[in-house]
Amino acid sequence: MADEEGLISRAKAGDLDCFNKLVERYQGQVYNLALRLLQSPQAAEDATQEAFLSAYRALRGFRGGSFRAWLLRIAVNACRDQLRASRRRPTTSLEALLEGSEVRFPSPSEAPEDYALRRELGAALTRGLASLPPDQRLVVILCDVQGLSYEETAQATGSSLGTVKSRLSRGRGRLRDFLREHGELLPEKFRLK
Amino acid sequence: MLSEYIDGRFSAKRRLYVEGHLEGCQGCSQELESLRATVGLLRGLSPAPLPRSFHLAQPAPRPLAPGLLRPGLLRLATAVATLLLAFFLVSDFLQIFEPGAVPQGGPPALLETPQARAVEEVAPKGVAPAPPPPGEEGGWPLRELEIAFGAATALLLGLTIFASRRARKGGERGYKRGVG
Repeated sequence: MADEEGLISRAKAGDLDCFNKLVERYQGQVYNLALRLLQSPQAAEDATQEAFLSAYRALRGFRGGSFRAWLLRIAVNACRDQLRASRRRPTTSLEALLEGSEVRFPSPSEAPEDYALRRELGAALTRGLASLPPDQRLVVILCDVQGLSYEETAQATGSSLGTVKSRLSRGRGRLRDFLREHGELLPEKFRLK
Repeated sequence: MLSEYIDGRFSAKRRLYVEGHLEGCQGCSQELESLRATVGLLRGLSPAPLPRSFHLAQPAPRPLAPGLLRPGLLRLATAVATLLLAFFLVSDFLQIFEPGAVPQGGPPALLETPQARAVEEVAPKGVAPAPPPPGEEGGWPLRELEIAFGAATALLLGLTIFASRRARKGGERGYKRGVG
């Protein structure tokens, strides 16, 4: 995006307003990544703030390529720091995370039961993601939830492309197995065969 | 492999190969469908709403550090002390400030006067005058100067680091809380 390049170069020169425009663009992704990794809204908020602060300080080191992947790499590191600092056990805050989970489906007029269905499905997926090993969970979140390409995911995690492919494949398989085993968590029409 | 196939990462040739296999293998077809369904569910996961904006705020202007604890001033003082220390160390190494050697043969000859004859009797030719008592050698007290400037440099460096960190923390706190 040409306008993004302009914002980045002005932000590098010290224009905080331009940096904040980048913050507006990516804060949703960064916060949601942190929330899914840390499984605590408070920790995710702290990690997100730290991530943007670190990004502003390190902006001169950005040499081009995917700004999103560069920023999410910083966010992943901020989440790791949060976990180390607080020695948080992710599962203790899972219920707080489940509260806000839902899956979106295009529906012009949604009946209440459909909304409940989406929330049930979202909660099941959230439990499934929480059951994955951290490295697989990270890759599945970045690729499938956040929509990053394999290359961007490799950059964001500091791994090779081969490692990303391997973790993604294993993570998806494990999640699918979880959803099959805990079919009762899923609404009937979404239960996997 | 199926994961990459779902994401369209295969070349046309490889994709055809996989599709050919899937047509004849029910197990792999079911595996593919269940994985596709899982990925579809993940892609439909709604993002959680933001609790607030994460804009960075313009930090408040840093107040001048009290008295002499200004990073800029301390850096200048540290640089001056370091240069002087280096100067004295190099001088010591090159012996620039060694006390001058007294030439053999005594002091230069004076006009022959009774007083000069008396001086010669007291300090006969060829004998160097007694060395000055300790602590009063000629030249600079280099060891003492090196120690003093070394200590001063270390102290100033420590103060500079302390003052700089204090100033930086004050600036960063200003960035953190954004608008909204």
